[in-house]
Amino acid sequence: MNPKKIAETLHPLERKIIPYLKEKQSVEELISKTGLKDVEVNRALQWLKNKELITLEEEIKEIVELDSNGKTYLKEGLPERKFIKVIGQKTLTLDEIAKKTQLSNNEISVSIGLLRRKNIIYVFRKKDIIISLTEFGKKLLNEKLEEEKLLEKLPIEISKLSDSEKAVLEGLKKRKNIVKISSLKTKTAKLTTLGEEVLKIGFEENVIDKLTPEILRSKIWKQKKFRRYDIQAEVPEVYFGRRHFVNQAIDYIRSIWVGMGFKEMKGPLVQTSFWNFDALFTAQDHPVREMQDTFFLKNPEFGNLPDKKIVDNVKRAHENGFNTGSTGWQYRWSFEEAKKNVLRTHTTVLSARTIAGLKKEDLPVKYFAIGRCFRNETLDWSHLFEFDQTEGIVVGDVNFRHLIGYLKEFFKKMNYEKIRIRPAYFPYTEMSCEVEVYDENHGEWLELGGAGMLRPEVVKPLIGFETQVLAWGLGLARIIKNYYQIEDLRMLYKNDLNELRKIKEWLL
Amino acid sequence: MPTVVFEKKEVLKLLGKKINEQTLAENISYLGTDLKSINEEEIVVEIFPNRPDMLSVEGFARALSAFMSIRPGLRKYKVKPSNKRVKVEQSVKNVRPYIKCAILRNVELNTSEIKNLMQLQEKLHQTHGRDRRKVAIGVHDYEKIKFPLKYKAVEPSKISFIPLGETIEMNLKQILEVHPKGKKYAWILEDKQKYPVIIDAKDDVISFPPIINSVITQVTEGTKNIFIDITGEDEAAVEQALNIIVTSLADKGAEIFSVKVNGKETPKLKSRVVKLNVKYASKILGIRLKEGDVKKLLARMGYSYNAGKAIIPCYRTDILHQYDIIEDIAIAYGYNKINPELPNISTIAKEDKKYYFNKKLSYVLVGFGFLETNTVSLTSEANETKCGFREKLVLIKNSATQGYNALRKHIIPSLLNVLSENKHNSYPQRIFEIGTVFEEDETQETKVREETILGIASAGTEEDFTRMKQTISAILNNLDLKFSFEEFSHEAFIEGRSARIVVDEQEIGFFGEISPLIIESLQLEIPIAACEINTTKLFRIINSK
Repeated sequence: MNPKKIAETLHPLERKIIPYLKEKQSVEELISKTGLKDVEVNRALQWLKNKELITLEEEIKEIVELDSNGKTYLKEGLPERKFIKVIGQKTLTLDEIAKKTQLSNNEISVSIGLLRRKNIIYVFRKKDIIISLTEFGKKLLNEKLEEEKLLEKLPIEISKLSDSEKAVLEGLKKRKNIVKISSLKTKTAKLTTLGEEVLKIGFEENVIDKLTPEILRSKIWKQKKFRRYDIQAEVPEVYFGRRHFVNQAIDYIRSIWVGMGFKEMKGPLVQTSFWNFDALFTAQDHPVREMQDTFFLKNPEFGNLPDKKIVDNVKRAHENGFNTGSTGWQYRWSFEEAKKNVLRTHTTVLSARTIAGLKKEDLPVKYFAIGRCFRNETLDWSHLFEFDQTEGIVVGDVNFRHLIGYLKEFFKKMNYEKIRIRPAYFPYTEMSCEVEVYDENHGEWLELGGAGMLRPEVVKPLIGFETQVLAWGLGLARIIKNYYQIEDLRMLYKNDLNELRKIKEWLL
Repeated sequence: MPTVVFEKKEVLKLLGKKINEQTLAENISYLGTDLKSINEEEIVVEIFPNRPDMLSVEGFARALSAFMSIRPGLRKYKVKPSNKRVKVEQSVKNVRPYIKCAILRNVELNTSEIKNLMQLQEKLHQTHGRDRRKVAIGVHDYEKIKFPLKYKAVEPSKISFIPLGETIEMNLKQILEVHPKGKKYAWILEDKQKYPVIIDAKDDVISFPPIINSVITQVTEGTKNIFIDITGEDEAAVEQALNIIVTSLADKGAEIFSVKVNGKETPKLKSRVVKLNVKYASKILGIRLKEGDVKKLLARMGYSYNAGKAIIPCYRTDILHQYDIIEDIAIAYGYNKINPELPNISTIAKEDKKYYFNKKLSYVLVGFGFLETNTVSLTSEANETKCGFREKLVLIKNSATQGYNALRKHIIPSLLNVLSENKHNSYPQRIFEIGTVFEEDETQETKVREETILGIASAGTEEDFTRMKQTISAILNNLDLKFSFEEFSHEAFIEGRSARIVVDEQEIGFFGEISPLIIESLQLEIPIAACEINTTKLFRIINSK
């Protein structure tokens, strides 16, 4: 910008200050000279600096000021002054001087030493100590001591003292509480060459700053110019309302399923063990029931079992395979165990409930779910006890190839082009697999969930006939963690409002 | 899931081939185990709970060797009768009913073998044996036993012997009280009057299952022949455990001899025959399989297959249905060799209406400039009380994390907690969340009723009753609802500065200025106004119109 345009952008505060900056000025000096507030001066200086019109430097100055005794002595007189005054033209004993001046012993001895060195007094030692003023001393009855002259100048920057004054200062420093030295950080500003040019150009006083309805009404803007704005100036941050980033991710994923024609499954977070485990062919005493650490409810401890027919089918499936062609788990199934309430450990429980409600004429169907699940883990950076999962099932004439097909399509829409599956184990699926996606940014494979075909021992007791069911359950925490590069999973629940205000939009 | 550590040297020895680390790693992963790490010395894997046969290095190598086509096909194990007998008395029927045994000769027992055997025993106990309750394994030096054996249940103080690890005789009761294994597993015999023991022909106790063996039969490095006893509450599980152990040892060269338990020979090591329909397998997997393909693939999984019949090796415990065999076919085929395909199934999507309603409400709040938070459903009674809410909560039995042992009934405490953690951020802070709350209700299937509540909290010098009322009025007007406010008193709010929100003659929420007592307990110094609106009720009201 040329100097003329710059001159047109100067804010009223800048205009007030800039004339003083032909010479180096400190902030304090500007405050006193302009009558502006500390904040206003500092702000204006920053703006001027941004425009490269001034240089701004920080200096550390040493200041000497009066200390407690110094203040007293300035008012009442230094001890040595009292000493000299009292003696005057006479000759006195030390005792007389002490009585007349009321000085302390310390003050007296300091004064004697001082005045002697400076050749202001004569000291005789006869029976007592006798003191009188020298010619020089008598002159000082009407003149100020160097120390007195210096004290009157305080507070002052040490750098502004002359050499002889500095020497006097050293003497005063050695005495008790007369002066104190402090460091002060101060900013000083001075015009640059560009600044000088702008100052020379000068400013039009008659400019409009803020446009108001009054100015519009009076049409005064027809005769005046508008002050130019510095479009580079920093503006304060503002924040807007936002959906939490986890919900943004959930909404995005939900749109993927809806886009593929899936219907939504919804259900309570508290479930009986029957639906969470038994209907999913998870044996009541099998080690796998410990695979998922589960929250059991203390009260109410038990819930109700569903339709007697379904319960009976599931019971028989566990005990001997029912009519599925399986051997079952071969143990005694307990109603009590099945009634135990849990916080659901996976959204697959919704799939079980949905399948139980299907009829042959409904098929084929596609269902999805997204919701909270719980695992009784100790909370740490890589384990949450409450998290979100997304679930999907396809029921009908489908096969294992189709399962991989759906998974691949879903992850493609999540921006993961490469997926692979590995054999895994879940009590309710066979073929079971773990799904991994390739993270291009980090060159590593991420395990994002499990999938498989639901076992006939799950499907037949619930739906009543044999059909194929593809199923998958994917954790959202890892996907979100990967997108936002979050190290600590607890951030999903941290709710630091500043982080929430600033985190980027989920824009997959 | 059990993690096992195998010596790489041993695995390679059992495979009988030199294989580089990368090939080994890949094959282990695709076989169906979770490879945790592999280096020069060790292979660390997590074995899935359905394959206890792979818990021993022999079983693991056996599966790997078939999978890598080094030694495919069904392994046959010869069992010769030993003519030794075990008599099972009626007394064990209600104590620990099942026992199966075997004798193994020419067992190579150096320190590393003993270590392997003990690892297998321990892992089987933990998983398959349900911490010894379901299945307990005893290993003895065969030479030290005089047959026939008796398996019976006796009164605890009536019998004593020197258990492993001790030097003095103890009776059964004392062992449970004093011996480390006794203390650890006493719970299994908790409600029993009599305890099971195995006694030999010299009337010596050789074992007190599931607790401990006697020193008499202790196995050492020199032991060449061993006797295995497996007892438990589940006959099938006991048999499976026995099969797994004897086949592992046989793979190393031991000879298997059966024992007559009440007239029946054990182990049987029978290979099960299961019908397999190749057409069906093809349909399920979506790949075209021919008889010859299936034969080759199953051989690589340790099966033998012929004309619609699959023969399952005796050490497999997980084949419940044809599906299990089909999975093995898929594993051998290679999961990643299967070409994905999207089927041509046309269905119409449907979103949950209530979720959609809540989402729209969220956007109204966002439009007001509120920030959505995400808090957990779990809380503690102390947390709720601190915020002025004292109602009865649904409680959790066994939470692993301190301070989270109840399910919340309100959202305001969660929001106030967020505010108390954000002292260092600039004000105003205006937050909201729509979350699930829980309450006991006999009429529900789980006896817990779940509803969603919209909670709003504003902290700032200008955030007061009036502003909150303005926000709420705008929201309800937006939904085209007729609403009114009623007097309301609540511990959480300043008396005289709170109100109930009524729609359609129902209370659907409340709001007010939070009491300074509570603000103080949150260690804040800023005025807060908060509100709760039950969106489940609201949705129901709107839908009923």
